[in-house]
Amino acid sequence: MTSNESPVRIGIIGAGLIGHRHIQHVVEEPRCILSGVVTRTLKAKELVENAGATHYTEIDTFLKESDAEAVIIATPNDTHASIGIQCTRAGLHMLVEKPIDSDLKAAAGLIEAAEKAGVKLLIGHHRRFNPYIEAAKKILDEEKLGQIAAVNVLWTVLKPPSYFNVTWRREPGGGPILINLIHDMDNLRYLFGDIERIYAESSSAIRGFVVEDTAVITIRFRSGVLGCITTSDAVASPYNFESATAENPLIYSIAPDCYRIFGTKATLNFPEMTLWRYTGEGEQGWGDPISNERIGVVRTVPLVNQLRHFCDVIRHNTSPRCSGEEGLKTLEATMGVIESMHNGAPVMFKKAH
Amino acid sequence: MATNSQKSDGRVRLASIGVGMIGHVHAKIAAGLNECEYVAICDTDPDQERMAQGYGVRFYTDYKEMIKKETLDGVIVSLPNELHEPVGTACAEAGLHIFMEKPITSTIAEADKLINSTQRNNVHLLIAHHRRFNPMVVATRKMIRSGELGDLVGVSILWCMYKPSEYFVAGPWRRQKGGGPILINTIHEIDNLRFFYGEIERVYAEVSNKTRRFEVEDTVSISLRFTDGTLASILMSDAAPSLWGYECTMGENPHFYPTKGNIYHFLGTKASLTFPGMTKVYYADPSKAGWQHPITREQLNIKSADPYPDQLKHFCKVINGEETPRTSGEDARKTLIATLAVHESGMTGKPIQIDYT
Repeated sequence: MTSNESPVRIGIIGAGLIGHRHIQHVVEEPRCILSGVVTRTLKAKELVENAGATHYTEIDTFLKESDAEAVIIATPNDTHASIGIQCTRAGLHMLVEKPIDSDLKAAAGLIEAAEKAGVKLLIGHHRRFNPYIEAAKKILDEEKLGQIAAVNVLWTVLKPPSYFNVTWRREPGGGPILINLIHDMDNLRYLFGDIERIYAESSSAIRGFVVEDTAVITIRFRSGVLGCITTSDAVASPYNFESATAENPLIYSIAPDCYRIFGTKATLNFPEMTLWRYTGEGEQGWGDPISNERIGVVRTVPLVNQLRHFCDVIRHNTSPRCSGEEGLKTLEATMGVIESMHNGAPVMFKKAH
Repeated sequence: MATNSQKSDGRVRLASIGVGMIGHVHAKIAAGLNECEYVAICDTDPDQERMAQGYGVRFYTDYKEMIKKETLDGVIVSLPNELHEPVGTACAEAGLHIFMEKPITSTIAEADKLINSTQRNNVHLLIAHHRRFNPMVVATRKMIRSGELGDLVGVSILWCMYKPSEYFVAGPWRRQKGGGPILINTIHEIDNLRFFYGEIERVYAEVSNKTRRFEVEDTVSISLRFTDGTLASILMSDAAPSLWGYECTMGENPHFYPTKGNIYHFLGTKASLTFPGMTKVYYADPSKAGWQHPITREQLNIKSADPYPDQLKHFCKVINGEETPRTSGEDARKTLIATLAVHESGMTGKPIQIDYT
C-alpha cells in the first residue's frame, strides 16, 4: 500500500531533449522516485543508474516489469495517444507532454481510455506553471483589471537557417503555429477560457517554404474578450514569451514587450508585470494621469512546479491544472488557426464536448 | 481655376467653416500663420463670435453667406462628417480650395460626389489626415520604404484608451451607429498603415460592445493583409485605461495625458522598430542572426512634433501650386473604403476583400 506521503514511483517514456529534463527533475525531487526510463539509447546512463532506476528499451517490458505507478510520456507527438492508451491498460497515471497528440481523434481516444481506467491524466502545458503566468492568473481571478476587454500577443523571433535543415520543419505542421504558438494559445485559454471563433491571415513569403512563417490572428473568446496575435519566425525581433520571461535558456533574453491584457479598471503589461490604472478622484479617462504598480514575481522552474503538481494529482486527488480535455481544446484551437489560414474563413468552435 | 484674390504677397486668403474642438485648433494656427491671411469664421453656434473677435476676423453663422461675401482662396472645413459632402461641394462650386477634416465623408457615394465636384471646378482637395505631418511618422515611413528594416513582414498596432463618460454625454451620437471608434479612431490607424507601407487587400474584424453596452462597438480586433502579403494586426478598445494609444503617446494634443508606451511594432527581416519608442533591434553580425544570439538595441533620435501647423502651411502651398496634396481626396477615399470594410467585417463575421474601384 502507498500512503499519501510516500514518494510517487515514476517511469519516463522517451528521453529526448525534454524527456531528459524530466529525468533530471524526477531524480532531484524528494516527492517522487525514478523507477524506470524507456528509450532506445540512453544518454543519461549514469544519472539513471545512480538513481537506482532501470533502463528499458521496450515499452511492453517496462509495463510488465516496472513497479512504476505513473509515467511521463515524452515521445514524438503522434505517438502520445497510442502509448498513453497502452499505459492506461497498466493502470498508470500519466503526465503527457504537450500537445496531447497530433491528431484530435486519437487525443479524444486517450481521454476516454484514461477515464475508463480511472487513471489521472495531466497534459504538460508547463507554462501554466510558469510563475509569471501563475501571477497573471491570480491578478485576473482577483479581478484587479475589472472586466477584461482584450488581449494582445506578440510571438516574433528569427529562427536561424540551420533550424530548417530538418525537412519536417519546412512542411505543413512543422511551422511556428503548431510548434510554438500552441504555447501562447494554451496561455490564452488558461487565462481567458474557451474560444468561440478564430480567424487567421498567414504568409510564407519570406522563406518560401510550404509552411507559414508569419500570421496575424483574431480571436473571439466565449466570454466576449477579443484577442489579437502577431506571430512570425522570420523577423529580427525579441518580442516573444521566451525572451520576455527568460524561460528557455536557449533563447536570448532582453525582457521586452510580449502580452498586454486590457480591462475596464486596469491594463497588465506582461511579463513586466506592471498594472496601469487611474488612481485619481471621480470620473477618469484619457486626459487624466495614469499610474502603475509593479507586481513582484518569484522565479521558479515551471517543469519542477508541474512535477510537484503531478504528485499532488496522484497523492492528494488535486484536479489536473491542464486536463486531457483542456489539452484537447488547446490543440483544437491551434488547428483552427491553421484551418482558417488555409480556408480564408473564420472557424467556429462548438460549446463543450 | 479659382479666382485668385490678393496673391501679390503669396499669402492666401482663408476662412473656417466650423470651429468646434478640432476646428478651433486650425483657427488658432491660421490666425497666426504668415503664409495666409485669415479673414473669417463661420459657425452655427452664435457664441463662437467671441472667438472670431479674438482673432480679429469677421463672423458668420451661414457659410453660404460667408463664401458669397468674402473674397477667399480656400476654406478649412471642420464639421460633422455627414456635412462634409454638401458643404464641400458648395465650396468647390464657388471655386474654393478645400481643406477638409477627416474622414473625407461618411460614405463612398458622398466621397465620389465631392471628389467629382472638386475636379469639375478645378480646385484642390486636401484631407486632414494630420498624422502624416508628424516628423516621427514621416521618418518611420522613410525607414520602412527604404528597406532599412529589410522586408517588412508584420505590423502590430495598439490603440487602447479609456474615453471618459463625459465624452459620450457631450456627443450622444458617439454611442449610436456611425459614431463608434472604428470610424472615429481606427480610421487613423488604417490611414497610418497605408501611409507607412501600402495598399490593404483584405481585412477581418471581431467587434464587441460588451463593456459599454452601447449600440456601437467599444473593442475591435483586426487582422489585415496588404497587397504584397505583408500582414498587420490592430487591437483597439476605448473602454480600457492603458498607456497604448497614439494620442497619449505622441503628445500631439494636450487634451490627452502623455504616456510612454510602444503602440506600433514594425517587424522586418533585418530589423524591428518600436514606435514611438524608436528602438531599432537587429543582429549586428548577419552570420550570427537568430534567436540564440544576442540582439542589438539602438535608440534612434527621432522626435514627435505638432503636425497641425505644417499641415496648414502645406494647404497654403497646395493653393499656390507649390505642392500637391499629401492626402488627396482619392487617397482619403481609399482609407475610408478600408475602414468601412473593417466595420462591415465586424458586422457580418466575414473577411472582406477590398475593392477600391
